Amino acid sequence: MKINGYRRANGKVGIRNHILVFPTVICSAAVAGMISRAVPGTVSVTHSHGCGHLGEERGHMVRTMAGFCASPNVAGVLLVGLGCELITPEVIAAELEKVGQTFEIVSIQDLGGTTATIEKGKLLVEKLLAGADKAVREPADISELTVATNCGGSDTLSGLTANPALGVACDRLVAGGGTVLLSETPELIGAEQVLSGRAASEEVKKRIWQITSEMEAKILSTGVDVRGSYPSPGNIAGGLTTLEEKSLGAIRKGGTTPIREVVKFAQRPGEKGLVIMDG
Amino acid sequence: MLKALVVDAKDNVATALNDLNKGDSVAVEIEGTAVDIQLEQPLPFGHKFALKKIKAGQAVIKYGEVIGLATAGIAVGEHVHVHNVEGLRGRGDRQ
Repeated sequence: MKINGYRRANGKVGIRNHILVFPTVICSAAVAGMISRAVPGTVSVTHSHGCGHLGEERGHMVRTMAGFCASPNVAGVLLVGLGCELITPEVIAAELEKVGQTFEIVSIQDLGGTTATIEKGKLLVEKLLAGADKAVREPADISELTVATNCGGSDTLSGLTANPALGVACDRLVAGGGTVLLSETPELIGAEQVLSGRAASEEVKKRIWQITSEMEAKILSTGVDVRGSYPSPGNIAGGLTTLEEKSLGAIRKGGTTPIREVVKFAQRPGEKGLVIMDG
Repeated sequence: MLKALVVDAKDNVATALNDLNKGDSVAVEIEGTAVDIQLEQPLPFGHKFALKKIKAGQAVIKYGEVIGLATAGIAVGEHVHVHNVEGLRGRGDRQ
């Protein structure tokens, strides 16, 4: 099966052609937004991170930001920093260089303030946009496609209709050689026996139980009854009774194929097929 | 039109696909056989009722898997929800 996508310089195929204006820290989010709004055809996203992260949390943030910016759906990215943050544009740029993603950098303190940063940012974004405009869709094999499923809000029917339907689509993508990501570890609790029964190896089986037991241990350590949140009050009103019931409905969106790998949050899968991301 | 759905033949609960009334006779299919279940209470859309008698402490099964344990005896056709079922996972309140 073929799809029409944009072949990037690094060989990856995207189905969107975005120019992203990305703040590497919350402090530069407003300026990133102003640059993006000044240049139609670009997108900016806001997040509340980029400073004060230690240890694995820092690694988690860098992986997430770099992975987001390096998506093949992004033709090029302007990284916008403040200057005194932990995760500067240069930190993310080093990761983007490794995977061959196109980027430019502005940093507010280096450039002397907001106004100068917006002016320089606009020029750089226009240059990136001109490059993106040259990209044309071309046929690519569906095996080059990776699709991540997302929490859709469990309700009465999600586990009975919407999730199984999405699961059929995922099964078809996997049958075509593509990759599907299933995530949200709390919603795997109570469904491990189903997922681990489909593990492609003993190692994958072990990892499935490992990530859910670690998540459950975190929940238990709070001393709080998870039922205040999983299922949520809205889930309960809709008829979902327990976390296990919610999980068993949620996992259906990943389809029915073997689990090939379990990866960390924002870690790029090494395998094709159905992959669980610990998130 | 189908009034309730049984996901797996091992299930002991069905999900209502409409708002149902007390006394309604609901036809469901259990292991290939059509069975009529008389409802003990009114039941909102999306909520579950028992297909079989479930004793206190017994497993409540949907998707062919255990979704929790009954905290009270549940009669055939009775509403099955948070008032008579509890989950076993993530129970920090029991630590």
